[in-house]
Amino acid sequence: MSKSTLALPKSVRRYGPIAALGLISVWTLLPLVWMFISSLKIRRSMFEFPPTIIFDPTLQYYQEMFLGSNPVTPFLINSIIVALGTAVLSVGFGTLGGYGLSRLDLRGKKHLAFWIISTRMAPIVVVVIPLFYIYNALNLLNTHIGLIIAHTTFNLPFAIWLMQSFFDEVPEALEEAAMIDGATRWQAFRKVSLPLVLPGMGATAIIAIVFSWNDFIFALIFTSNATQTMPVAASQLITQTGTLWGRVMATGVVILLPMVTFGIIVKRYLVSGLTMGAVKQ
Amino acid sequence: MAEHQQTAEVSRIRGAYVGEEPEESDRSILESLPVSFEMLLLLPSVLTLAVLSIIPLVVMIFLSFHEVNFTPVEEQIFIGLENYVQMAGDGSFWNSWKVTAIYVGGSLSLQLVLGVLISVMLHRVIKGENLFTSIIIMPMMIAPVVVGLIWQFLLDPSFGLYTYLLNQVGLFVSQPILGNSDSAMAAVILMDTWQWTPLIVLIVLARLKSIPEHLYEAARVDGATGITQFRYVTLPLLKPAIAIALLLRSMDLMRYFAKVFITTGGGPSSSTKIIGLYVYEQALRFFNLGYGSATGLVLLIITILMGLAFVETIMGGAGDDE
Repeated sequence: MSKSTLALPKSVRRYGPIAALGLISVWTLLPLVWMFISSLKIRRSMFEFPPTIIFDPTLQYYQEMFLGSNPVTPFLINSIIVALGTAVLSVGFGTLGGYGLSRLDLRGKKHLAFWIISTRMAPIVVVVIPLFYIYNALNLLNTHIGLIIAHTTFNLPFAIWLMQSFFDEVPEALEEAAMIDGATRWQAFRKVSLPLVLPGMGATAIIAIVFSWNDFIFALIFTSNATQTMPVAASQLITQTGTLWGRVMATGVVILLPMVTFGIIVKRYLVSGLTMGAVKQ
Repeated sequence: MAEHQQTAEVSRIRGAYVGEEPEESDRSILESLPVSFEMLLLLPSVLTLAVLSIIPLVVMIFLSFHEVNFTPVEEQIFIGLENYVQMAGDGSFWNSWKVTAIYVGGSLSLQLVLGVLISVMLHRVIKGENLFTSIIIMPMMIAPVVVGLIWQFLLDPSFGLYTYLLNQVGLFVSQPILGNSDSAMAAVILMDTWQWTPLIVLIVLARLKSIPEHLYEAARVDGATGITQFRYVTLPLLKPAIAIALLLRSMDLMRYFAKVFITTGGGPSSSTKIIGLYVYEQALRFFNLGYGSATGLVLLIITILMGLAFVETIMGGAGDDE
């Protein structure tokens, strides 16, 4: 019985993984740290090389962003309206649908489930083209509701699948017990199963918000100045004549900070969320 | 009355007749409907999705047989299969598929190898896993536009931090990273790898944790060492997780193009023009909605086939019910 594993010294086997993970953390964090630092640097020191680590931090770009002549506040509000709108729609319908799909006993259920998820898998551009044509005819271009509907095309199927995976974990016996005590199907759903999946609903809502908030292509095509969301506003800061990189980085920080916070809050559900319930943590 | 309903439920659940048969009027409204309760709850979603997916699909198929003009008047001229004929002979369309194959293939293989390596290491480290996972989920939460902007900033030929670091070892001194076909492709692949390898890590890690320790013990008793143990115990058990990770990633790589759009815009000379970006440009930059729809349909069909593979993998077949 051979006990020796790899022909590596014990110290390498012990500390190797930790060192490698440290390296990967640096690779992951460096762009974000650099972005944050750059958002605090005055224009002159931003382009100094070798890069200056010690500098006088300035909140100039953040001040300009919110209080300057061209504030991002309206875009921020647009982003929030659209993200909340699609989250409410998706999680509302998705919870009912996910429950139905979980409890449904039907031939062809897999076909139904596949059809639902296939609507989520469609390439963005494939959804954008016909919607653009339809919105143009229905005057839905440049409206919040148009963008909310567009984001629901990917958030609703996602929410149904994820909620189904949460309801799958609630034993049907619990509902049956409630119904033996006189509850109707609706009451058994509402009073027994729903409270048990509330954390899952919260996670679904948050991930739906993240997807909507981060979307670029739909927002680019379906909004104009008045309804523009943050990512579109950020992309338009890049100009041929001279980009204010400090402003760009500060805007980036404002876009990513709430979403990264959300990600850490729902960390426990993130794997199920991003795999639509296919993988449980 | 409540008692009637109760016994009715019991008999329905148990599949056995208990007590008195309830009268028709005793049934709740929900149960007197022709569809089941489950179907009723699914209905709003199914109807919404039907409207949101079937109508656009029909419109797209319609458009793909037309030439669509917006100026001077909005009109659709039926041109039959002309868009499809044009597509077959369109070199830049096929080039985009080639670019897509390199982009998707390169990203997937890099992310798979890195993802499995990282998760295996993470599985062995006892402390700090929580902190480390908190770090690696960050890129996944960031808007593609912002990811693109950060990387454009890092790779800028005159003031980018990564350009500076690479210059120190003598690389890319005279040529901008995003200005050369090969390095631009490498850059967009690395950018996606930076953002999405964590997903593979988390999926594989979840699977690793579910492998019972006694399997390893048994393997050790049989004389398996580190590498053989990984090869014959861990890897086969990881296969389903890897399949899910790869399919999710490949579909997303086909779906999204915002990062490439921001950093290279498909250039230089179409060397990073992945198919999503190509279709987008045809339809919504040049407003060639008909041709864009035809090329988009091909993209849709290929993505759906990949999705089918995904469902086959995790559900054990979409076709058969158990």
